[in-house]
Amino acid sequence: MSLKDFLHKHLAFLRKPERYTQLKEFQIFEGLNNRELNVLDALLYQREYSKGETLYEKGFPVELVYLILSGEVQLQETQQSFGAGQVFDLGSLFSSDKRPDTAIAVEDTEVLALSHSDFNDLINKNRGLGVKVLKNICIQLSHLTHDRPC
Amino acid sequence: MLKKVNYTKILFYLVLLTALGFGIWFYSYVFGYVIAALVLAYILDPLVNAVERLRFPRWLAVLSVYIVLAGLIALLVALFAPSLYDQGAQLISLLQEDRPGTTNPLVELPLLKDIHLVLMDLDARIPVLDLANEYVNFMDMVVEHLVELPKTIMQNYSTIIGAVSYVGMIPLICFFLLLDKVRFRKGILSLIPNRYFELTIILIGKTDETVGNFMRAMLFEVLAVALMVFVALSILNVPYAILIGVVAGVANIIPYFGPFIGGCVAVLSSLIAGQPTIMILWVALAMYLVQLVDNNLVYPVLVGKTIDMHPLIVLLTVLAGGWFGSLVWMLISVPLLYITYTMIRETYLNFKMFKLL
Repeated sequence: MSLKDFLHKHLAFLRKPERYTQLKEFQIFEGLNNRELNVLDALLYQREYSKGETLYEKGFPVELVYLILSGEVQLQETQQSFGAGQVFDLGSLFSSDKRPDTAIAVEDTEVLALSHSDFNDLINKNRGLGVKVLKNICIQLSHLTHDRPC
Repeated sequence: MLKKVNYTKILFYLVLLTALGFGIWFYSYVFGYVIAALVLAYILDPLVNAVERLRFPRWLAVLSVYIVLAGLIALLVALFAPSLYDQGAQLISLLQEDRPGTTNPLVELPLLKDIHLVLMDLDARIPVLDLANEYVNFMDMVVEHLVELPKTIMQNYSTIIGAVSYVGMIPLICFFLLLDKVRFRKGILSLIPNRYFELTIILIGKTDETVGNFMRAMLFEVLAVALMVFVALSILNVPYAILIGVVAGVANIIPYFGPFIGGCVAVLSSLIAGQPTIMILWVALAMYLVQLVDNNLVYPVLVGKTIDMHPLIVLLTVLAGGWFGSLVWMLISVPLLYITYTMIRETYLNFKMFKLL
């Protein structure tokens, strides 16, 4: 490995690849700097689901939260749909209960999967990142519940 | 209607299978290296993570852990290796020493000499009995085997050189495993179909948790017991304290029986050194105290839960390990059984939850 390759690989956060713009589309990652996006990116698994494929079934153990890059996912019971730039079953980032609903890809879908134990590990290592993400999640929750007192 | 056979497909899969088989055969020699490196990586990973938390890039974190550890090992070797070597050499020369008047050095040792005297007394009373001679013959045999030990080591030097190259390679492989942990994991996981993806991640997490913690705890326990035995025996002035400490620490890996082996070694060495017979009691007490501290303080803090296994199963496993391989297998058989059992249980539970079983 040449020095240039080495630096290229290990100082990756100095580059600004497309991926960061992709990640910044997600509201929960708003305000993260490139260094933080770089560590986060290392933990994300890109997966592809074809139309009609099941992401998870109701009652399955929870480990992953899915961020949709493209396509559409529908929850079976609530009939809620999620599209690009959205995250569903956000609660699974913090709890490891059972899945409350079945999720199915309505069309060919690309997602980023984040393991909640990896994420917990990350926010323990990177307090700053953790606070930013938590803040974003709170904002999202307050939008969801702002007409209902909770 | 007969389905049309796709020969190209069959041919392709045959070639693929052959390549795969050849690959496995070709790489089978380095399998052991990778496994040992994985074990080391498991042990070191939390340290690297801790350094990484100080905002070090991963490569620098791995490198600093390596440098600090190498320094520590060098320091320990410089401190203890000379006396460890001396103690071993002394022990062997004690056995090889020719003393005037006796045929066997072991028979000259306090307790063993007492037994010899009792037997001679018995022989004198009961004419046909020839126990004393039998006893000396038996002791001769024991000494013969003990003296052979260094020779055996010398004769197997090529194996030992092989082992040294093995030991040199492992940190290198481990370095890359630690450095690119995330990349390797991602690479392997990208091959997993969607249906099994989440399950695999859960299983990897569980493995990290149980196996990693277990191995780390075991390593620290070995060190703790070795250190405590060394200190306790040094206070009692038992010779070869370092050597016994190392043996007792390693033997401690085997539940129930390991501590007993350590105790026996300590008592025997006190006897061989010609200390008074009453020292057996003190040494045994010291070893018991070490076990007390280990079981009630070190183990609960480090491991949290004990290997809950029936002594009979432990005994049979250690025996099977002995028949299967060498001393090393006897040592690792119980932890291996525990890890295998835990992994199978976790896999079963998760397969059930994912409705795969």
